[in-house]
Amino acid sequence: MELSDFSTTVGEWLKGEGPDSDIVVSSRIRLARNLADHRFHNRAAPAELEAIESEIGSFLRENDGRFAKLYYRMADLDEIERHILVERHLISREHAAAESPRAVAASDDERLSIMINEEDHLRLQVLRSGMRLAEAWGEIDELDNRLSRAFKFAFHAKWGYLTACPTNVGTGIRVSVMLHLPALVLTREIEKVFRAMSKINLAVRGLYGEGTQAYGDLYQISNQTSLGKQEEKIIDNIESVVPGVIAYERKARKHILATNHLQTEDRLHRALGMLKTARLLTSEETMHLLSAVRLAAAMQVIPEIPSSTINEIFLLTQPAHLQKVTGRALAPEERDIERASYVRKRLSTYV
Amino acid sequence: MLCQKCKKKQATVHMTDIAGKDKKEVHLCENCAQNQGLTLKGQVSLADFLAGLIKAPVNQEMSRLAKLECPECGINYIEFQSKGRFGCPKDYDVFEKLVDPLIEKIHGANEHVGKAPEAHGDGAEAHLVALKRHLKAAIEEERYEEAARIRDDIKKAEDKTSGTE
Repeated sequence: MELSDFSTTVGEWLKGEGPDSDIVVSSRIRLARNLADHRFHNRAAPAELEAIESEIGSFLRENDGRFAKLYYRMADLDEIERHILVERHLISREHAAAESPRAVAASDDERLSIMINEEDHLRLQVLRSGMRLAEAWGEIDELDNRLSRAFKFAFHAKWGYLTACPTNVGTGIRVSVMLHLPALVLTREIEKVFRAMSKINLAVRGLYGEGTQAYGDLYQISNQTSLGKQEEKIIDNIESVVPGVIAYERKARKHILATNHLQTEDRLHRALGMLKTARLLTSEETMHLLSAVRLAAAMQVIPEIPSSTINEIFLLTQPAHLQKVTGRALAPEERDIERASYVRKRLSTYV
Repeated sequence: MLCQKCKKKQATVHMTDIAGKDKKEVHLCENCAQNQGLTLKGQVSLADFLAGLIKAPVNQEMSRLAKLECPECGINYIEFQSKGRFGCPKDYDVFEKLVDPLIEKIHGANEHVGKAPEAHGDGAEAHLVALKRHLKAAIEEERYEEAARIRDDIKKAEDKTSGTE
């Protein structure tokens, strides 16, 4: 698959499928790994990083058919292309920004991806739509085992997998679930979720992870610590907490529909109306309105719009994708025009 | 992303400044954010809190340890304190006494109980990878007889792996 295909397709994680997909957008697990006989990324010379990239890269392409097609060196990509990968959650913002030798490999369906030479030599990721952490763990565990047979990972008898930052040491795992929580935001109950999560040592973050805002009422719940518990325990912990949040959001949805039926319907229909008629749409406003349409579809207020369509619009209207779709670099104001035009076209068939 | 103010350090504080109708994205490094008096609460990642978390070593032995340089990557603990990142896997052993309480503080535990890497180099797959590397080298160096032999070995090894997997 070429990068140009990214202007028309979405990864498996945005298919809107899987258990509880009316609220759980995606499940993600990442593992941080480092090669034993090399300095960490921040201390390694460019030549050393290049050697690491080339060794891991050729192993993946030659020995694992899943990564044969999607392999990109950051140096070969322009800024828009790098940001396409960020918007698709295949790489981090830091990975896109840095100039040192680095790369990313991904499976065709974008379920599996590997950042090479991010903060750690390897950042393995599995990303699935819906609530599917157990399945996701199976996949990434297998990939990790496979790689550990080919490469000697930095591993300490007492502290486990060694990472550049001691916050990731041990299992190197981060487990996160992305949730759409518009009703909890509307009813101002979301703060309670934050407080409850921090009490049990879980973090709540925005759409693009650390330090980002929760655009479109999307929140990620993830573990804070990576050492002292088995991977399965860390996953279980998140799995046991998420149903409570889902139930809370469902209750809030019911509540707003029961107590303010007409106002809620009006609000959601207006959001669709804006998207269908607006001539200028910023990325933030689009996410905000799409959040209402997503909620409307899930609550059967506007049942005919599939969540896969909403997700597709959500991804393809983000700045880098939009510029890829349009085929040229756009100034922010031009983007808002193109975005509005694209959204109008996509939604024209829905009443 | 670089800090918008000093344009030198990595921006780690990201916020949206809202004044009336105007919204402005602000991306600063920790120093510049502090100088501007921006509140850091909830805006800084756990990793970036590290620098503050890592207290200066207290007693004499500890300060001696802090000045130790890792023979592998040349980093000392003071440098680690300022960056929050180690330079190589060996640092964990070099600074063991200082790292142990730090890990305990971050994770509330100091012993890994999760998975361990599968035996490296023993597996058939690693063997296969090594063979393919040898083959490539043999062809490049025009050692064709050897290359043919390696090709046979690869075929055997592949049959074996596909049979066991």
